[in-house]
Amino acid sequence: MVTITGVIPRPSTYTGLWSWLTTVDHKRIGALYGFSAFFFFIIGGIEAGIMRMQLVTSDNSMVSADWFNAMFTMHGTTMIFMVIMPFGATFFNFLVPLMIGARDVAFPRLNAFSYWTFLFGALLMHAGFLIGQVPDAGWFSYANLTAAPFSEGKGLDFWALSLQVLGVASLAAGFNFVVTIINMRAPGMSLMRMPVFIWMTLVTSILLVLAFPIITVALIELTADRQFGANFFNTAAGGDPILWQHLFWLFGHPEVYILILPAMGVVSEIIPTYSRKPLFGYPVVVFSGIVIAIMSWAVWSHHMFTVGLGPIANSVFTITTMLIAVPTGVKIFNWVGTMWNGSIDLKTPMLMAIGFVALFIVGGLSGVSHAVSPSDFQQQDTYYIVAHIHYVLFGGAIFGIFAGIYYWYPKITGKMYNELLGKIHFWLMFVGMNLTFFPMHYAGLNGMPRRIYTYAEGFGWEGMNLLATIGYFVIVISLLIFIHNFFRSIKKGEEAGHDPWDAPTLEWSISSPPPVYNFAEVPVVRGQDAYWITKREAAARGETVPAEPHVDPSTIHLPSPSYWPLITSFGVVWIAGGLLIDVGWDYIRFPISFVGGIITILGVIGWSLEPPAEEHHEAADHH
Amino acid sequence: MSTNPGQEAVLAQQEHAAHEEHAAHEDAGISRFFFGHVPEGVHGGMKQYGLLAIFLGVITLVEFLIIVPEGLQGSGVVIAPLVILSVIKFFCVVAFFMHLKFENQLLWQIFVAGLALGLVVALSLVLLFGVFRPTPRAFSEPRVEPFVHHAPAEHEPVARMLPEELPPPADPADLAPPAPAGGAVAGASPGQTLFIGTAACASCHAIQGVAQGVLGPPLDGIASAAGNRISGYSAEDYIRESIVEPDAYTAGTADGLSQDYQQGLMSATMAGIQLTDEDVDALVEYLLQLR
Amino acid sequence: MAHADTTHAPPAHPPAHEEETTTGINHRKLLMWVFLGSDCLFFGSLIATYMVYRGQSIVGPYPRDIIDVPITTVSTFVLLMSSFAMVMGVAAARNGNQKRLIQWLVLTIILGGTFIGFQVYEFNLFRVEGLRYETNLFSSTFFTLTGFHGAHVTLGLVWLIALAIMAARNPAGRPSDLDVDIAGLYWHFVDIVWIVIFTLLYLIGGFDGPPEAGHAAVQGWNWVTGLIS
Repeated sequence: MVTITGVIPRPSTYTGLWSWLTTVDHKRIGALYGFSAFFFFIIGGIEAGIMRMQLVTSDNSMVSADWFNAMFTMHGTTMIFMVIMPFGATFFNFLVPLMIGARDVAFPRLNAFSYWTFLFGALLMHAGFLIGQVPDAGWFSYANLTAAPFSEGKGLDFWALSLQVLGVASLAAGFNFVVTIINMRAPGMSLMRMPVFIWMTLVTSILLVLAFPIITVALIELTADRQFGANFFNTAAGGDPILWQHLFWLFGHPEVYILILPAMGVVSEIIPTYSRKPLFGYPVVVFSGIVIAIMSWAVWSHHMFTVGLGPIANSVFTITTMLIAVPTGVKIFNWVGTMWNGSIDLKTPMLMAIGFVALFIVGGLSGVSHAVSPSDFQQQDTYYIVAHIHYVLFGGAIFGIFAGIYYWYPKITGKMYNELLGKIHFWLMFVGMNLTFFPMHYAGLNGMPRRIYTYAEGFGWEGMNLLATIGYFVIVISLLIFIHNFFRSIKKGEEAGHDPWDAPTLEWSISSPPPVYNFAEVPVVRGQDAYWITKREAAARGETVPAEPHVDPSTIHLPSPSYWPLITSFGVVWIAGGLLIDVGWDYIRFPISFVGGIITILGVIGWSLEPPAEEHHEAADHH
Repeated sequence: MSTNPGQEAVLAQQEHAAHEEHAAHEDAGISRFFFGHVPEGVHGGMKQYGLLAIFLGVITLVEFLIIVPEGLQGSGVVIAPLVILSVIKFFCVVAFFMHLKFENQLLWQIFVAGLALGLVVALSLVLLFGVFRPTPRAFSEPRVEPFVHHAPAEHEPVARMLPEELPPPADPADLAPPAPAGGAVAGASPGQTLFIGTAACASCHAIQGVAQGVLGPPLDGIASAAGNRISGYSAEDYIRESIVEPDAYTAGTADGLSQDYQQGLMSATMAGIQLTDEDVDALVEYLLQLR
Repeated sequence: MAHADTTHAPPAHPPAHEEETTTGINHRKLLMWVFLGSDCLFFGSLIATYMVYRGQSIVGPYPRDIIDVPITTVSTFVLLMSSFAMVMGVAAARNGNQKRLIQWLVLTIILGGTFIGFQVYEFNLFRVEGLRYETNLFSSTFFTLTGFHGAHVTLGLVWLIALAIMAARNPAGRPSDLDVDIAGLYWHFVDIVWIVIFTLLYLIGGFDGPPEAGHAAVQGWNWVTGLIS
């Protein structure tokens, strides 16, 4: 490697803009993920607001039907791929190495690559807004609505290619965390001693690496149809649009669990901490998570009951869908069992976690109600489905995410958030969420179809929709309080100390915010709830456990920052972006896209030839 | 990463020493079985790999020879041997060239998980599109089959109560591809093109593999049935009259169909459609082929 | 391992790295296996698409008119032999035999390149015969599946060429046996995917189509029938 060392030295700044662009520190990447996800959360929220304003009353004409189509498409796509998934990645990044006692993830540069690819992909999709080419075929973009004759313009090309880029990011992150969790646990942390959050991260990552190739293929086929005239979903050539639905939901249902399992992991950490009890039935929670992951592959066609798959397929998927409720229900009982007889401390994270459990039960029950295929025939494509998905993803995933944000806020920032504002946030969001989405059950069963941009008066839907719109603004207010609380507490919050909650996991044993090297000395794990064990033993001796003392970071080898992840991500998004160029002469997009390929290859070459910084000395010694 | 040496030892040795020892024994056994002797170390050398490569080449040759006879090309008989042979090749490469046989069991589990899932996904898609796909059914068919024991004795046998025009259910593999929009079927007769296209017959009538309309009676086998509808009418007379004067006779349960069709519906629907005499001739010609 | 030659320099990546992992498996090796598991789903979906659309094309050319099983049998054999060369290269790297490693790597590259050559020939022949990407369902599914396999092979070639260049450079830059091992895993995976594709698309699916068309136009078959008679 010696001869190559001189080409481009590794960046060496640890402050300023360059340090953020070249960082490979999992904590910084986690923070970048978090802020990006919140940014897109606001965008997706605004899109939701436009829809709620449009539907507030009958025969409204605030936005056109076309814009409404674009809004619900982008709202769904944004919230799923650019908000909940990267929020999950936020927690994975920040917490996994800390919780398993590692110095960083297994592939720090790949981790940075994941983030930049995600960001660029998300920005590429939103770039469509700038030129008025917004995808408008729903977040699942059913064929053949997406065929070129029925969906003119570049909107769906933006959708397909950006999602492809986001898929690359998710796959890279998935590989990274599978390897990290399998291979980088602290001594003594056997699989059945891992915190449940780590388990759920592992399961989610495995689902990611197995499910995303399928959507990759589906998107390749869609792109080939739209850009190269292939026939995959072209009925005139014998193609079958149903294949898209199968491929999409084969990915899409594991994806649902990719969204919810991290939140389940977060809640499984929070409830024991504030109940002052170990998690009730730890192995059962773990195995339920694994069973959910396996079964998530056997239920996808419940999204397609009305397609006409035939009685055998519909019966099979009805049964499997009902069965998957069992491991989910088991987890609910475990959380309730953990709280049972615990000395519960209703701090904001705990409130959020309990909110998660309550709302997820509602969403789960409505889910079981459309597991029954004859019943689903009545509910398909109505607001009942909208209510269900939001109880699961807002009441479930988003409440879990906020629970996690509050819970680890002291660890991430070193400061304590304002508890009163936190509780106000929770109650407003809880009320607002139910106000928004509960009436949708009734609207849906009263026949209101989803994705309509307006409705005539006389159906009796006005009241429900007005309530939902009011609820939306309640949620907005709660989020403004959260933003205020978040930034004000960073500046003026009290010092949190290293372990404000007396928590059971390893990340609380080091100072807050964690030092760049995480653990000066790699901890040894002697059981589940490792830090509780340490603290209980110390307490028996009449001692308290201080935060691990700081050491000079230069004495500890850390992965060096790198330019190459950024450059490689840029090349990847250029490949996709190049295919979107439209300047009259159609074939110009291929050479432009090809340039992106060259950038990517150069990035990979630079990446693989980049010297590990610590080998400077070693290499010098050999000569 | 720097850890205390003691901790490292705890980790690496306790968890894996026993397991790997076991694995090594197993590997030796397999190698003896496969190569005749235990290779140096656990990995093969030139000779073992060479033998395996020859073995794989021979399998490929056998696979080819199986399909050389023209009678076997594309026949169902060869599928099983071909699949078995390629599965053998597949796992030989995985186990020995990728030396997965000699690696930590975890890698084996990871790979097999992905492989099995991929296989299950592919198989279930093929099944969903093939075996379990419902054959296109005329919606006019009875949703619930009549109870036999409720049928009065003087009624015709049950078999006669089902639309006798329906051809026997086709093997899904032989099903004609769905008709393309616009009716641009290569080699379609002018009558069929009219049926799907300008005459718009397809919007109400079903013909297996061509059209799926539900408002009118299905027309599969109409050429056989038409001669029996009105006494004195030939099949051609009946079909022609049904197109030109739809209201003259409306088919129903008396004709063995599953329901009585609405009198006057066809004439009302067809009001806007102009058919020339040649068009009617072409349609009649086409429908007369549906035996 | 057994007989290290005298020019054997210390490995570029100290083996100490490998012992630090929880499972004892190197990070990159584990990554490669997880990737291969994931890639199974990628090719599984592509193959599923092909199988679902098998026999659904409305217009020709159908596989029977155009698929040349004899020629592809040869290219399949070539790819299999490249796998053999690769595994010999891995063994050479493990034994620290630099010269043998380079020789086997070059042979692997030549055989892999030959396979790609066959594929280019085949694709071009299909184009000339009137089977373009947009012609029918068969062409769309066939070119996508085999094209992505070919892309995998090409990527593998680039990788192996890089390894061969690194191995031919001074000892400090030479790849570790782990580097060769991981590239080998990828290469063999591409080979086993082709085993599946060859069986399904050529041996079984290569005769789909209206029987009257026959495959009189396919050169390889003419040659084989000539040989038999």
